[in-house]
Amino acid sequence: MSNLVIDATNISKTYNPDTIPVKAVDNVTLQMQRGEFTALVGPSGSGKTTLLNLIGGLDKSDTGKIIINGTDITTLKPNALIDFRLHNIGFIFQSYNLVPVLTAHENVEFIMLLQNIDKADRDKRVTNLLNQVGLSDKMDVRPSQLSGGQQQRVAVARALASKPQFILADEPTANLDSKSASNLLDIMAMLNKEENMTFIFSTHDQRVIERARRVITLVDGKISSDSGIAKTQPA
Amino acid sequence: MVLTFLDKDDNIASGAFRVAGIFESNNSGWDNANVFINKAELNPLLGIDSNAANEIAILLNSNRNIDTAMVSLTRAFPQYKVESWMDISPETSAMISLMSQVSVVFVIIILLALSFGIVNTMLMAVLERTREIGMLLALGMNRAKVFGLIVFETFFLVMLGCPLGMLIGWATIQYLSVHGITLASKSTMASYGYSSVFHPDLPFNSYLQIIVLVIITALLSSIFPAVKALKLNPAETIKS
Repeated sequence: MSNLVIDATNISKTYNPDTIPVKAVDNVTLQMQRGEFTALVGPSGSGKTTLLNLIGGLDKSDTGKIIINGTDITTLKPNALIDFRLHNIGFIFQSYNLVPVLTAHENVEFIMLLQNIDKADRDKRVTNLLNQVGLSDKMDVRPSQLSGGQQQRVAVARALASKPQFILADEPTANLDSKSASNLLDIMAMLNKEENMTFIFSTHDQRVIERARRVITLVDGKISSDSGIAKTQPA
Repeated sequence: MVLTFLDKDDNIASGAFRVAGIFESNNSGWDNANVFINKAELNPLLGIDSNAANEIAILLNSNRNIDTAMVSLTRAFPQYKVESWMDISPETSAMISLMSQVSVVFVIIILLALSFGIVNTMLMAVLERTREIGMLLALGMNRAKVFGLIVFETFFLVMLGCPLGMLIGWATIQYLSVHGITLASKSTMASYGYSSVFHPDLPFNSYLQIIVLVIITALLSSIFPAVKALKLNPAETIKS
């Protein structure tokens, strides 16, 4: 099986093409291997989030191809793309985006419900995942009763629940204090190392950048530097 | 009181009667034009048999029984003329038909108001949860499920409100059917032939019809907010 998880070629995205065009991503080509722990960095407006959205199939690129695990997602119809995301891509958002009326257990379980996984398997996996992120004692707690760091850990567990090919995290530590951020990074590094899970972050956070084994710098929608994939294998 | 009338052979006949009492119904026009006389005293003056009658009124339990009753009576008494109240008083029939049409218009207006209320409520629900719906789409909830989510939410909202509304309506009608609604002074309404106190009544079938109409209206009204939810771009909503 190929280790190539993401193969994006010549992808571009321009917002407001008919009024004031803003080229958010400009002819970017990049590949990512299974098990990478990669940080996308760059100043605000450099196109980090747009690139993540394009790779995650949340937005459509104007040009180029994005092949994920052998499937060109730029050719998928909307419903097929949603289904592809469900089974292949995990998301962690800056603002956690947990469902407020569901408990931590239900938030993690929810994505497996969409995948039609049976109850016994769901319960077992939710328990394991919340154990892994250190929240086994918060299973029945709603997001409003959790700290920011705890909510983001639930989001990590939710992202892992669907057994994705890789996880995209948009500024995952931006809303966290340094202790929570460090704790979250430890968990993600552990998952990367033990489960060979691929993580791609967009971040400004120096602590995240220091922990990343590959750093891609974007400026004005273009890759200005890439530390390369030589350092991507788990230590 | 001296009454003059035509007898069986079209001769003018008169009779003097003592007023035994004055009746008062809800229709002053009818009260002014009608008197009650003992049949045994009237029939000899008309030159007809003491047991004869020129009209027999039959009160049925429901209008729905009219056709069946008329067929049976015509078959049983072919020598007599059998007419329904609609044949005798077509203007009353026309007025009731008109009232039914007006009621339909009122029901349509009320359902339209309900529809606007539901669209407004569900649009607000979608707007308030834009980020949540965007997140669900991002994570992989397909469009049919998001559509179903909004439609089911509307259905549950209606299932909560409709029985409550029906219960309040039923209780109100039950109370008013006993105590009535006084609309104006007795004499004013009596001059139009109506009682001044109305006793509303709503048949059980109407409750069922209203429930069905409300559910259909609610489900149709939920389509617009559901389509709005489907058009959300997850990439934009998550950022918002």
